[in-house]
Amino acid sequence: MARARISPGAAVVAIGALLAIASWPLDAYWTGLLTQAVIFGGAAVGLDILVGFAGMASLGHGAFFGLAGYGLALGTLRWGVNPWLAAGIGIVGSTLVALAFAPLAVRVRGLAFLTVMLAFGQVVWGLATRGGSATGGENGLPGVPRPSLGPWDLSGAEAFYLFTLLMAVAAIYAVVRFAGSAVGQSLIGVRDNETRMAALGYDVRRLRIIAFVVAATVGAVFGALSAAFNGFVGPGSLDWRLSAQLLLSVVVGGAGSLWGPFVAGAGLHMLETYFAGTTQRWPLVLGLLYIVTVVLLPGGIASLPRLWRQRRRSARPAATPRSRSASES
Amino acid sequence: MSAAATPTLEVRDLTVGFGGVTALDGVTLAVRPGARHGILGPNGSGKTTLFNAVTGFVRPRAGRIVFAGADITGLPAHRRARLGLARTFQITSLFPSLSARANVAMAAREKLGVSGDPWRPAAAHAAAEERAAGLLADLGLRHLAERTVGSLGYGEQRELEIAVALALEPTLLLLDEPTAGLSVAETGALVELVRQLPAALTVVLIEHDLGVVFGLTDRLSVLLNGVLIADGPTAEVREDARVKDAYLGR
Repeated sequence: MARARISPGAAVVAIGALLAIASWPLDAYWTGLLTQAVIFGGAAVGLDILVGFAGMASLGHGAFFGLAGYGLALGTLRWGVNPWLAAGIGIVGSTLVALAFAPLAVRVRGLAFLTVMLAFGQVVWGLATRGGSATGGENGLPGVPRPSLGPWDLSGAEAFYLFTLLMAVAAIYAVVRFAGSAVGQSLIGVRDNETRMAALGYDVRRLRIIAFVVAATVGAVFGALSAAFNGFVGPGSLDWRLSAQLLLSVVVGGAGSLWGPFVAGAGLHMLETYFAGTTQRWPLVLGLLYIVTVVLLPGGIASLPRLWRQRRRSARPAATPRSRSASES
Repeated sequence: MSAAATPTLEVRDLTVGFGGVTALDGVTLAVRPGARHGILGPNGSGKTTLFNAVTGFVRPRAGRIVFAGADITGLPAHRRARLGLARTFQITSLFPSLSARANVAMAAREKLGVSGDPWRPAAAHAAAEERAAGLLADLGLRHLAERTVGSLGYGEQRELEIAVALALEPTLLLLDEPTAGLSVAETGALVELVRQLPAALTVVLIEHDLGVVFGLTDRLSVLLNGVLIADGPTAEVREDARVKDAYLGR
């Protein structure tokens, strides 16, 4: 307990600042890659609230990510509204869809919840692909404009990267605060023992809905960013492969740790981009990575620091067990 | 304790069934304020089903459940808990990934109405943390406060579960076989803990250990195959011929 703890909020801001500085020597390609990586990392952090905290693994999270993107695209391209307002419509719209669907989805648990969400994602995907000229069908909607923030023009790669970082830091900071709050603890309670929670006076159904909607809203924020960054939304922005990749990011990163899913979400996107140049078998790589994690590292990336400390501890001479508390404090 | 006082708990003609099995068949009983009320019966006689129906985890087929004069038959479990109805479970029911202190604080935050705060750190709710620390100290569990519950011994978990239930400041506490699976020493510690509960708190206790039941309770209800076969002061019920036949195995 004596070990000094860094405030999670300060850590989020520090990592954001580091990522901002890191882009200094990079060209537009790498800046773009980092932008998309941060977007997927952030979406995975949001999903961790649902999977890691409330214990509800979902294979339909991409839908909320993509719906916000479609909202932004439809708003700007079809209805001619200001990009900021359109992004707001997308995010609020996606949240409202989550709010409407949550009461139905949270009735089931475990594998049933996972597949209900997969079905939900497929319905949204079906609407997007068969939406005709409204949604652009299989071709999606190209030409989504990037807005400018007052005098700050966000059309350049560097500018949009910094803007994405700013949004990501704000969103992830909010998620981290939420996760550590009384409600965040309650979600852990629901994951650990629903019956006990009900016996303590907690409305378990309401808590599950809250986790569902919060995760969806965070996903929607990053989905809108993604659409603005790519200037495009299509069925691929909300299909089951995206949902699977987000869920795998949470598992590979370490469910419930928040930072692990960010690292894994960002890292998986970079790996995907790398493999896209060398092989068509990205799903195969993803699957292998998943199996290796589950078998060899069940706690995910987030468990590495603890395993590392344990190794160092056991490597030390047994004669000086007391030196540990001194060196760690 | 005047006989005219409103019972803390009244169960009227309660019938609970699962498919073709009738687990409880027209059970009627009343628990007076401040009572130490034992529920006795062989395995499968409906004791836990009675608790589950009273706390809202099982829906009865017929009958009413009245808590402190208010009909709670249709209320969900969490609403009953908020009214002051706390329980433990036959199989220990805690949050294994959290510390002992966090387990009690979870209950305290709900009771104190701060469990809906989505922003401030959970441990910043000082009143809840103090109640948790105070309860752990009262029950002699202070040394376990920072231990993860999954790593605690079984007896320690049984005691902690009572601390968690007490954090709700209940008016009625239902204990489902609190000493089941405990060693003789642990059973003694738990009996002592129950003995020291506030006199104003009404306690209903399911228990197989007859020594524990006769030592702790002033009233006793006996169930057999879902039917209430005896109900009255412990001293009388333990001499009841039907009870001896059915359960005590004279």
